[in-house]
Amino acid sequence: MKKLIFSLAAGLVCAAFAQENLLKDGGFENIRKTPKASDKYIMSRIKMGWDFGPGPVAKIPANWVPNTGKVKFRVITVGENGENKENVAEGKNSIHVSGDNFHLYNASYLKPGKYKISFKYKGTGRVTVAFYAYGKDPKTGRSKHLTSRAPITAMAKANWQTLTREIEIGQWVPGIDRCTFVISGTKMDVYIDDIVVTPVK
Amino acid sequence: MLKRKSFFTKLLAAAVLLTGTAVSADFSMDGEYPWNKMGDSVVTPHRKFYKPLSGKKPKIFFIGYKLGMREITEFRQRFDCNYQYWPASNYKTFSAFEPKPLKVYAPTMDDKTYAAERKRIFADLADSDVIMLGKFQFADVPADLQKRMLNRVKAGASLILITYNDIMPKINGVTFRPMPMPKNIPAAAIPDLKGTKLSAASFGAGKIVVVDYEESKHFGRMVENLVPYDSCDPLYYEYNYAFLGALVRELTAKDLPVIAADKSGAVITGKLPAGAKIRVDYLDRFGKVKHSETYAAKTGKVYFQTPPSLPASVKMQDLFLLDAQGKVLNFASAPCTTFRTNLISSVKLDSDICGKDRKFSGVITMKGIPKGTLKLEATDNRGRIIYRSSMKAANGANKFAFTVPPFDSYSAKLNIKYLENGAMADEQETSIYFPIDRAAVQNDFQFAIWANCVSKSPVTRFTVEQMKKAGIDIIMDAEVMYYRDFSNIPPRLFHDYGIAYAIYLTRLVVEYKYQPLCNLSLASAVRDNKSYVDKNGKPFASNFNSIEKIVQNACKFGVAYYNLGDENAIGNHGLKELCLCNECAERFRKFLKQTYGTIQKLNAQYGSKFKDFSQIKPLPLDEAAEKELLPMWLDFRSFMDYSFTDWHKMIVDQIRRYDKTSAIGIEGLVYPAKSYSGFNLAHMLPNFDFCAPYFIARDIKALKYMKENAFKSAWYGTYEGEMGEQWVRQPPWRYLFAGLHGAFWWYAGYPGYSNASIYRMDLGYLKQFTQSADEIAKMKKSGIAKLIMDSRLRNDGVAVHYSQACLHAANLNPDKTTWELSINNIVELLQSMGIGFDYLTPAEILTGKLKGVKVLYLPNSQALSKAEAEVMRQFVRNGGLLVADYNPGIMDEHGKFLDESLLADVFGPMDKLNVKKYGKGHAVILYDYLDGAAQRAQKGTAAGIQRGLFNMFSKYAGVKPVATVLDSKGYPAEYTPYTNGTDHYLCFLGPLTEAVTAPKTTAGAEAGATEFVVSSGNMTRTVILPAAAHVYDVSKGKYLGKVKQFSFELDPAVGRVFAVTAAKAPVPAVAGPALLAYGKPADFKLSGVPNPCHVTITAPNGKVVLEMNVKANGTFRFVPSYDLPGGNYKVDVKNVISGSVKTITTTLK
Repeated sequence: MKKLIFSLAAGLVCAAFAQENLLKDGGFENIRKTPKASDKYIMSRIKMGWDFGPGPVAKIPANWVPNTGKVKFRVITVGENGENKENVAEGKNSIHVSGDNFHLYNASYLKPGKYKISFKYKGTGRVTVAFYAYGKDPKTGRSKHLTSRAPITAMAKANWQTLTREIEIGQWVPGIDRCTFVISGTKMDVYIDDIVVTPVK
Repeated sequence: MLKRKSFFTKLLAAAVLLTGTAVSADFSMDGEYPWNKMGDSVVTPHRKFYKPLSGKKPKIFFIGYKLGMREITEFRQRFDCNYQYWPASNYKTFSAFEPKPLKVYAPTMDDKTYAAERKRIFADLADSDVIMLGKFQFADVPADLQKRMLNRVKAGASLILITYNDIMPKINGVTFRPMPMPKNIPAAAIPDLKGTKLSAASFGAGKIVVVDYEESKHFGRMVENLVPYDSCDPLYYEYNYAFLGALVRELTAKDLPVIAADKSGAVITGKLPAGAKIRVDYLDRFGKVKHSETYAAKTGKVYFQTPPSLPASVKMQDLFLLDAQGKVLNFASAPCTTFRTNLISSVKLDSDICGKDRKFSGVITMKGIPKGTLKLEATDNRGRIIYRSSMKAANGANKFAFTVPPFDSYSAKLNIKYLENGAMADEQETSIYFPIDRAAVQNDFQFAIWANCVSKSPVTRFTVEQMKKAGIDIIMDAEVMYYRDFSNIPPRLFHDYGIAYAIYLTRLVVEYKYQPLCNLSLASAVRDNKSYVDKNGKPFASNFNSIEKIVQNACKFGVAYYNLGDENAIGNHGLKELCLCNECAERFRKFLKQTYGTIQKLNAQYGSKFKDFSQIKPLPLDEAAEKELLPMWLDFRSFMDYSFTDWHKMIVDQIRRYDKTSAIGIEGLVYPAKSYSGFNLAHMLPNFDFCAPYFIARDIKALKYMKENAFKSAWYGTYEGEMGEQWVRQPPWRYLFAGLHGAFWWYAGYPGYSNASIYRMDLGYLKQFTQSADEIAKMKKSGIAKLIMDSRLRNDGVAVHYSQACLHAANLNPDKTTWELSINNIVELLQSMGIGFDYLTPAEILTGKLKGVKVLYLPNSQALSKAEAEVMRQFVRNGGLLVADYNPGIMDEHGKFLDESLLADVFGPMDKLNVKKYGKGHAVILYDYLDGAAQRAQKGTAAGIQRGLFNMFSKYAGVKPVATVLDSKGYPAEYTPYTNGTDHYLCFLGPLTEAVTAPKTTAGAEAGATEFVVSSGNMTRTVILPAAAHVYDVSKGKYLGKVKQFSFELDPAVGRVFAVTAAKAPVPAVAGPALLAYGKPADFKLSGVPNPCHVTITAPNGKVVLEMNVKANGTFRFVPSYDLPGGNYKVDVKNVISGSVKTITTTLK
């Protein structure tokens, strides 16, 4: 009983100090399986050059959206297709992307401000963190894309690396009120996992 | 570094361009918005009680919501005041923006504008004398505004809170005490006000008054804001406003002279201005003033008496105390008893709706010792007197029975007058109704609207009257399914105004389940039990009882159509893998057993090792792929499609138990080109005689599978987003040219925070609705709509393979295309080229329907049966042209991949644009040649592909369109060819030249339903015919001569029709009786013209008494009503094509 109480207390202390990841599912743990031919958006990505693997179903991180790109894209799951922990840094899943270029954006929005960003990656080629920035059109009051920036970039290596940076986003042009987080890359064959964005106070 | 930055910038720009459409969801800013639109221009019949008002007009700040906002205008028609108003979202939500933002379809403003409007409007509280909340609870007003209102009351204003059923407002520190009702309104004698209680509390220098209407049997719609629910009596409804007016007057005007009725006249108290008068109005039970007198006013008693000549129908006496200028100082009302003793005590019909025999019967009960005559007269919804008779009145029961001549009426008011010595002694009225004839409703292009009308409120009644004035032919009530006990209201309401009744009866979506059985298993349960109820008498589904009750009520009236649902689908919006429940699994096993017979045959097909059928379990696509059971997945989807159809068919059968003739179907088809929706249109549509899909060319084309004489239409209106003039004028033309029989507007809506409405705040129309209504009226009046409806779309010998197996197979092998993309490409392209074509299903192909076809196109037709492939092979061998885009016949009809295409020998190498001669015919693989053709055809940038296909069809199959049409750049231009015998009608749709104010993206199922491109203004068209022919510009009423080529300029956004005929269009002939008699049908017969004619009959007084379009060589009927003048009637019959008119004269005696 004492052990249980201690565990609970320890958990509460940890939770109090842990910063919540502002990205939805930065570790690619939630997966959606979508029939390719019934999903107009996914079919348009396939026609653009995204390869989601053989068969009729595309396996995609549930809170991430494939945007531009011409890549082979796979969700790596430990225990499936002979995968072990080697290609997954944290949890059960990671993503494996190889090809010319890609943009995969997260479904959550970030307000302008300072953030600590970290992610794990390995392989070859360049991995980039970018942001699409939006603000209100003063004429219509509607949301409008204002600019895009790619402030973090790194070359991948054979072993898992962790990149951690503090950056300020959204100050690039006046009027930005929200940004979308994008993981992207060029001429790469990389595994990416455990992307965490936390606010810097 | 610089170079890399530049690369990223480009990449990001491209990425964001694509992301942009995913994050924005807006509607255009075009059209008129309802916000802030409450004027005085829309006037309803009313009695003025306090108008014009003597002295200072009070300023009233109203809060109301939805259609009930009209009651503010109604009040103002009867009470002279300055005003301001605030529209709440509904009876408990202050606005679409607070207390929490609501999701609003087509919002009328953004939050910044809202904040400014809130500030502007509530600034008017500062000088308001009265704040009136119409059944909107004070507690639901935001705290800051509550405070401002109470501050205003503290400073001397009055707050009137209208409520009902003893729902008392709670305001801190305020205790309400009973308050006497205004003495000048006899509330106890007015049925709707009987039981109304007033409570009040002083608050600073002002007062808070609660108006609590007595409990009502209202049923939830709550249209009424200011007046009691269900108050609709033509006389007493007025007094609801008189009562509120009296209350406002009492609260705002001090030291007023007061008038009150008494037995021998009136009593006036208080000081009167010089020249004051009393006007006394006597009102009958219909609210009509039957007599009026004026007397000089003086303080004290004023004597006058009810005139003895007044009929017994007079029920109220209104007294107006007027100043010298005739302005109202005060008002009073009292019940009025006349001196009549012989009167009609009741009129009872055996039924208010007649059968096909048009017979009515009933009893008039008289009171007293009647010696006079009863006169019966029926005036129909068009104001015609359609029946007249009289009978001697007797004491007690006076039975009557009569038959109404065959007028095309929907309803009539049966007026019964009791006459004594030639004078009217009493009068009663009741409504009678006639069933509508489905064929008559479908005779011409129909303008229908989606509305909610289960209400007795005169405001709702007014909206229906307004719709009729706009030209609405059919109202689909979307509310009655929730209020089955009130399903007697809408058909009567609509028939009162000559509008046909359509019913949104139920909605069939698998995910919504209200009973233990799976929805898709209901049909089996009903079939197995031969009943819609189980052994305990409980319906298998909760909606069965509703359906039964509504249909039983409605079928007597004749229903324009029963709608079995909007956006029905197996899964909500058709994207879920349903249904994998145990019941469906069991039914699937039975289906497989029927299909394959033995488990061995099934295993041979699937490559599986099932020991028996009990081991089979339906699998979602990913599991089916993993277990290499994709053919089983395809079979399961096909089975689900059949089940979905079965479900609908079961409801059709249920309706048919009571209604044998009305149209039944569905509308708003969602994602029928996707695997999970449940739609197999070729299988489902033969069960329906009504369908209104979203306007997607691919699905419209599939309507050919409906029953003969089916009623086909599509929706437009606010759901499309754009409300600019061209955007609302064009759809009806587009629908007509696509072979549809009507244009349905979604939806009537409510004035307020959404532009998905046809109404301004005062229930006048927003201009976009009247613009569209105006266009439809033109289409009908010109006869063009009837001309096209009575013709048929030309087929140039081209068929498109339409296979459900291929639709599903696209999921098994998503390659360079999908079935949806492929069929969209060919359909849009052929339409843009003016090539007439039809779909052919595998079943049609196997039953010889390829005969006469020159070209068969296979859109992503991956899954073919051997038999199907063999017929196609023969088709080519015999000279046909077989064209495919991707992967023809690489699977069997169950989705089993084959080692080689079933048509490998016919096509040869599957290389792009490979043309192979096979027998007498040819086969062509297009591969990606048509990729993106649908969008390019819409944008007008498909000229290369169009020419390529023209050449291919012409060279290898001899396809020759009825005309070559070019735009000003010499590119092929779109038109739709219709044929009628040897005549051809070329239909051109004027492009949209008006850009929307702001981009919009409709969300949900409607997205992509309309994808139109604004033209840069290339409006010239040149038409080249194969040989010289007589050409008529039907739209402009011009004969262009016998020509081989002609050019013209299109008008933006509207249709233009040319008739191309071998012989000159003849003058019509018409035969009919020389003499007409009142109430006797006169039948006229047209001849000599192969197309519809426009008929008008004009009375001697110049009034047009009949106007309609009549089919080629058809007949039409004219029944002279009893109100028409005798004399010569002119019958004009106009050939719709040429405009030539034949006139005959007939005489009414």
